[in-house]
Formats: sequence, structure tokens, C-alpha cells
Amino acid sequence: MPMQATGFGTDMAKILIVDDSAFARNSLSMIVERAGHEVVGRAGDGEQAVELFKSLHPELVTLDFLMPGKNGEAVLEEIIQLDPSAKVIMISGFGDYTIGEKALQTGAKVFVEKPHVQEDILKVIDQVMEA
Amino acid sequence: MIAKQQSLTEKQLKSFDRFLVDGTRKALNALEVMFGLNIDSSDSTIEIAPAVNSETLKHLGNGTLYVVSSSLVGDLQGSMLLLMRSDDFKYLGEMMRPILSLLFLSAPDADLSELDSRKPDWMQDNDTGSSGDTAFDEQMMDTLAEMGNVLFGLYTKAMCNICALNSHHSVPEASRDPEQRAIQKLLSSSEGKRQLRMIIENEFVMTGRPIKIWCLISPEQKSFQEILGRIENRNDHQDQRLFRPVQKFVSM
Repeated sequence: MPMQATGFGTDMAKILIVDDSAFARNSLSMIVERAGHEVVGRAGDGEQAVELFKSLHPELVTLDFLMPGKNGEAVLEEIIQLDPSAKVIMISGFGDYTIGEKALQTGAKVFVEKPHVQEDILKVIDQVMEA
Repeated sequence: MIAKQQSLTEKQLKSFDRFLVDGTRKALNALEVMFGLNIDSSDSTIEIAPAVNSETLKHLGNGTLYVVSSSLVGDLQGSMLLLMRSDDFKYLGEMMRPILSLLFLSAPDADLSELDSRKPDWMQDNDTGSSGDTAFDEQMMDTLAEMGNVLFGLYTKAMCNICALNSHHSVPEASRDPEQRAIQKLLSSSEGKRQLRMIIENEFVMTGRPIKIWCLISPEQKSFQEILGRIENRNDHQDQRLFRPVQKFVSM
């Protein structure tokens, strides 16, 4: 029987977490794992993110926008090219709404601003998984 | 509260006051969410002045600073700094240690051998900046950079809200600055003598002890003039509509 994730009715998701900040990466990992999801991979940069997406086939990717080198926007484009139906939640500390809109146009399902409240990010994950 | 102004109009002063209130409220909420620690009270001021004339920067003292730096890009160009004094950074480290241990212990790629319970050297009185507990040092600098990332984003958004422009910050970098080079650079440059900066001082009480952080937003001269001009020429009824929130579920 599949594990219930958050009480909102979604099954456990296999998640790839991408963020150059170890603090942010590990915080989000802890939140989603405690809710019953499985973190299949963690990436600290864009190159690693694309490689892990190819090899791990996650059901969901949480992707930080602002990273050195290949940023979230470039990673998102590559992921969508590889799998147009990929479920990607773009996460950013930016206040610039044009960045969020562009991410959504490129293929992100949701744009979430940092820092994310635990209940909110879990609800967003459930909504993206159910869509 | 606006501590000092440089030939600003009433409308501009009100806008900067709103920027301070909005940005700081969200910044402190963000710190509570990030760290899982309660902030009991806070007091904030903003000074609009060239670095050399700043009274606020004198509050930094002469000791080691922990600095996060970033650039302002987009419609506005410039730079941003987040500053913490060493004693406050050490206190934050003490508060964060159990949280970081939990976070990094839970990570499968963590090197558990480096996460011992020993207090690092930089938390002792002799602050050399180097620590035997390299893992914890790196975690704290990473945490500081992420703190800068979130606060820069919130203050940039608050600033853009008062002037109806779109800007964001670049990847933040955290560093230890024993000689306060970041400040000396501001004071010695020609821009330091004439370029207006937004110098925000936040004091908040976290688990019984006050902590201060400073956020310096330094738009280039042309960008600052753009901010002032836009505030002055804006119709108040436009305020809430110019910056619509991102539609988070439009693709679903």
C-alpha cells in the first residue's frame, strides 16, 4: 500500500532536490522526508542536477533558481527538453515576478518564494503531484 | 523609522519608510521560518546617506564582520551587503548548532565524522576565524549565505514595490572580514563620498539576546535617481497594482 505523504491525499513522491545551499537543500529534504516522500537525490549545482535527473528519473524536482554556473532557468530548460511532462517546482529568493513568470512559461509547474513554510511547500508538492 | 535623510521629499520619505516596514517585517518572518527560532521583538532604522556620512555604519565598531555580498541586477544596478558582527554571528552559531547538526546528520552525503560536539575555535574568545570543526564552519557560512539570499530577495522586492521596477540579486557570497575591507572599500571609493545608499539596521531579540544585522543597498547613482524619480512621479492608487504576485499555479 502506498505511503500517504502529507494528509492531503497524495502518495509518496520520489523527489530530486536542487539547491546550491546545503542549508536549504537539507532543510527541504528533512521536511519532505518527514512527510513521507522519498528524496532520491540532492544536487548542489546545475550540471549535477541534469545528470541526476537523467539517471534517477525523479517524479518531482524542486529547483532553486539562483545558482552559480548553470542556473535554475537553464536547468529547467534542459529538464523540459528531456521530459516535457516533468514536474518541476521552481524555488527562489527573488522578489522579481518576471523571473517567476518566465519559469512558468518554460515549464515549471509552480514558482515558490523562499523561505517556504513547511505546510505550504508540502501542499504545493501534493498539488503538483495530483495535477 | 528613518534615521536620516538626504534632501528627500515627503513622498520619498514615506516610501522609504514603507520599504523599511515591509522589507523588515518579511525579513524577520523569514529568519523565524529559516531557523525555527522565535524573534521576540525588533527595532529597525533606515538611513539614506553616502557611506562616509553614515552614522549607522559607526555602530559596526572595529571588530571582525561576517559579510554576505551580492549584486543588484535588472532594472536597477548596484550592490548589496549583509553585515553581522562577530559576537552576533557566534551567538547565531550557538543557536543554530543543534539545528545544523540535525539537518546535516540527516543528509545521506554528510560526513558524520566531522560533526562532533566540540565547540569550534571561532566560538571561543580567540576568534582566529579558523576552526578545527571545518564542517560546522562551512555549514555556518553556507547558512549565512542563504540568509543573505533570502533577505536580499525580500528587500529587493520591497524596494521594487516602492518604485515599480523589476530587479533581483546575483548569487550571494559569504565571507569573514576581520579588517572590515567591505566597509573600507565603501568609505574610500569616490562613490562612497557621494553615492546615496540605503543603510538598514535591524536589531531583534532571538531567544533572549539582541542580535544586529545591517543591510546596505547601494544602487548606482543613475539607479538611485531612477528610484527617487519614480517614487515622486507615481500615483498612489497604482501602488498595489504595479506588482502583481506571481501566479503560482498557472501551468497546472
